[in-house]
Amino acid sequence: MNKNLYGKLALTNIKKNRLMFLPYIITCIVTIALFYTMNSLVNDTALKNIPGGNFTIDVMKFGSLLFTILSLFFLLYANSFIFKRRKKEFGLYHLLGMEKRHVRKLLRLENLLIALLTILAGIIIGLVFTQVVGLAMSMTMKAPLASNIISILAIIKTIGTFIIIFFIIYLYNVKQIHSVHIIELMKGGQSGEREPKAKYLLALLGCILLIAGYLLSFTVNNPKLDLNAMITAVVFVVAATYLLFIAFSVVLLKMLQRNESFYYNKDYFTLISTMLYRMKQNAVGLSNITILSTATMIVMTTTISLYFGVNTMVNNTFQFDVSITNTTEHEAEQQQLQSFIDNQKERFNVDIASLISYRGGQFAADLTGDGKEDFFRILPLEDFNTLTNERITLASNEVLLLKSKETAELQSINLNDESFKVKDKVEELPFDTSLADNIEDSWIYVVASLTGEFAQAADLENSLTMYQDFNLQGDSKQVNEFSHAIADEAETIGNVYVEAKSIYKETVLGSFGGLLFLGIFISVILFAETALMLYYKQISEGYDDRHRFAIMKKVGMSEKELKRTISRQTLIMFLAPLAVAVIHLAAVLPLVMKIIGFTAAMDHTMVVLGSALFAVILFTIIYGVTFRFTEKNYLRIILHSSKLKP
Amino acid sequence: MGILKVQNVKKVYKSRRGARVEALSDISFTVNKGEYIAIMGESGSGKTTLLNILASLDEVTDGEVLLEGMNYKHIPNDELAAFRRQHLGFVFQDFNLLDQFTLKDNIFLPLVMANLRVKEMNAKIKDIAAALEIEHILNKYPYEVSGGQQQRAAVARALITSPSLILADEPTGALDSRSAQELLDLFAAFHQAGQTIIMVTHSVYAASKASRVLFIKDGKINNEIKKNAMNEDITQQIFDMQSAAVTRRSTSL
Ligand SMILES: Nc1ncnc2c1ncn2[C@@H]1O[C@H](COP(=O)(O)OP(=O)(O)O)[C@@H](O)[C@H]1O
Ligand SMILES: [Mg+2]
Repeated sequence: MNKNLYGKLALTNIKKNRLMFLPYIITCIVTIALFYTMNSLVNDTALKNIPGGNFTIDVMKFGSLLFTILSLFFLLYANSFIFKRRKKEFGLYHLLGMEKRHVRKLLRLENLLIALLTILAGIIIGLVFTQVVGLAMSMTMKAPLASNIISILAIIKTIGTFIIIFFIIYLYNVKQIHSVHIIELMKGGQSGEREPKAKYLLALLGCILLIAGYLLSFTVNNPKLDLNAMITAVVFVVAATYLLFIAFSVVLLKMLQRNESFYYNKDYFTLISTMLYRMKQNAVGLSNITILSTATMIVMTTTISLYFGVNTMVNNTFQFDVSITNTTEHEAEQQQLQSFIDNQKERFNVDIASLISYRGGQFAADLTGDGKEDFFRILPLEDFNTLTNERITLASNEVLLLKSKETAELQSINLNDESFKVKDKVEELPFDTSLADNIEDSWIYVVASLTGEFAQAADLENSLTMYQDFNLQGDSKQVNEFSHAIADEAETIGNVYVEAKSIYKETVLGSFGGLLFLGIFISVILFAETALMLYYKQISEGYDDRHRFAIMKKVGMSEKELKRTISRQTLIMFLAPLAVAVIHLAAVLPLVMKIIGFTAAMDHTMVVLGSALFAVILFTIIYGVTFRFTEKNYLRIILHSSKLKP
Repeated sequence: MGILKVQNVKKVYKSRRGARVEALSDISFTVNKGEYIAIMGESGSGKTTLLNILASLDEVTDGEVLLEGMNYKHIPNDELAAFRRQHLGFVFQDFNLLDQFTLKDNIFLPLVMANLRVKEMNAKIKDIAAALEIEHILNKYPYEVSGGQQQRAAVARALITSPSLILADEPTGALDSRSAQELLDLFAAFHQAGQTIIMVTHSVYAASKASRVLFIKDGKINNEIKKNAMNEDITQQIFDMQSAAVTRRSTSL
């Protein structure tokens, strides 16, 4: 046989099996395009220069690595589906006298053909996609991003990576050909599937694990500390999902089957028995889809929450637009910065509002006498009186405390073995303390006179810091520019430090924009995997079911009944993973909220709930469309051959 | 009394590329109630096509088929399934049992489709399972029993609706000779009990059990042997007819 013949055979094979190959090819192209896009962006110089850009690059580098591994498994999985269906074809080749090395050659050519086609198409689409993503990223990060038109490095990396991946796929197929006997190849995927046995113990274990996993998710309080509990919860829920689909479903269906008057009913008879029969090979597929769907929705929820939570988070962190901090010995520098601000504000057309200035210090000591060191802040009584227009006086060994959970019962506090009387509890301080409440709930605020014993005990004089907080009023763009100008000036002057809300927001948006992008990216990949899984499941079942439905038709099932049974069956197969995934999502939402609350310090409940709802709706729509598409192909396969033909 | 009338039936398959295959050219025959008809012919002569048409699984290109006076053409499409269920029973060469069902559920399938109650179904299966000697394996799955047992379950499925006509396409084709013999004995017994049967077969022995043998060649019935008495041995006649066909073919080459 000559080379040309192989080439032709390879091409015909791909054409002939296009119903199976097409989604595989599309998957390859999409994967390659996404891979190129990611790598092209990582190499983007412009991205490095925007605030938070480096963080985004780091995240994407990690993501790219993850993605490479994922791509390999993903494409191997898709390939194995096709290969399983084609076993018979290869068995036939053997029977017709083709040697294994001939088959190998054929496989090599097929693989090469697909590799060339998909890598080329993938990179071209990737080039276009990079521009789109670059633009989208520029917009989400609120910073210009000039993407390279073509990244040679990314192209080389893409080609190299996927040649290796396709080679691994080829090796896998060759190994399959060699390890399988001809008779088995001939039987293909058709070999007698035995009905699964009801495994009550496993079903029970699945229920227990599920409940345990859910409970853990509800009870984990501090995600950072209870990392083990969190991982356990995830492992439990994943394991429970598999067990539920593998064992519980069978137990449930068997139970329905045992109820004869229910089972021997036109509407359920074939439905229940087919699902039962199918469960063995379906269960894993359904569980995979469920877990992927859950993961997709969790990533979507987290991403959306974080993005929409940025404003809340920034506002929670900064009550004022600009905060200037310096130690008392560098008051001169602060004055210098102050005059810069006064001189420049007109140029930026910005007004200064609600300026407050006070002094204070931060210390750590075991004030409450419970053996634990607490952080505490001191606000001088003098500044407190000025800010609040009050005339409170304290004896030398007296202090005031900010009212909080910790301080509610305290009558006195200790510092350096001295005891200080708590004269009163202050309802609120003249500046915002919510940040401290949000992040570290153990801050204690002490109001003490600069000349008192407490200030001496804390050596306040030598660590007194000056704070100046104020807002900027004006056009937001000019506020931002002015903030930058102030920050730059402070850096030039030195020893005076500036934190500005709008600069912080830029940085956060930079890192969160990257996160958002990554979240969308991962969601797309996870979803693509889900869709592919769904597609291959439906198609491979279609081929098996077609024989089954042809028989039913002969024995007296009408086309209408047939279609109804099929649509019921597909609806259940559609709804089951989705429903379980949504329940999973609901169960892990408290955990997601805690993680978000923890990392983003924001009022998250409504944001997370809204995001979850949005994620579920969006996911259901896309999933539904995909399902519709695969179902149509499934129906085409089934009805094609049973159409009034034996 | 004709239970089945086949009049000038013609079947032409058109491939998508436009090629025409005339599977049946002009077939006419009548089957009386209680008759046991064997159809013989070379591979590709149109036997399966004819059976499928009788089964209302395929439509004629021309001509007419009437079962108990009902013209297939006049039965609306959505009633065809019910019609098949009520009037016809099928036995196939490859059994066509569904792996997802136990033998019992396989046999119940047409009854469930007909909305029968569980009680009635259980009553019906009792006698049939006893007659076919499959009572002890009713709860087994098809892949757990032998080919002969599977085919007997398929026969039970065909009989359980008490159809006016049983159609069997090479029912012994996939069986070993002992199982084949047993199945043919069963068919003969059903025939004696009054069941009308049409069976496509390659086996001279199988055909010899029938009361009438039709020979199909190139889509036409070109010969017929009829028993005058129930116990008449027509084996030699069938054999002669077959070898004549073979001789004719080899001389015409
Ligand atoms: N669905 C079909 N489409 C096209 N041609 C067919 C179809 N079914 C059967 N034929 C053709 O009709 C002829 C008769 O086939 P068939 O009835 O299966 O023969 P037999 O059962 O006697 O072996 C054959 O030439 C066959 O190729
Ligand atoms: Mg045939």
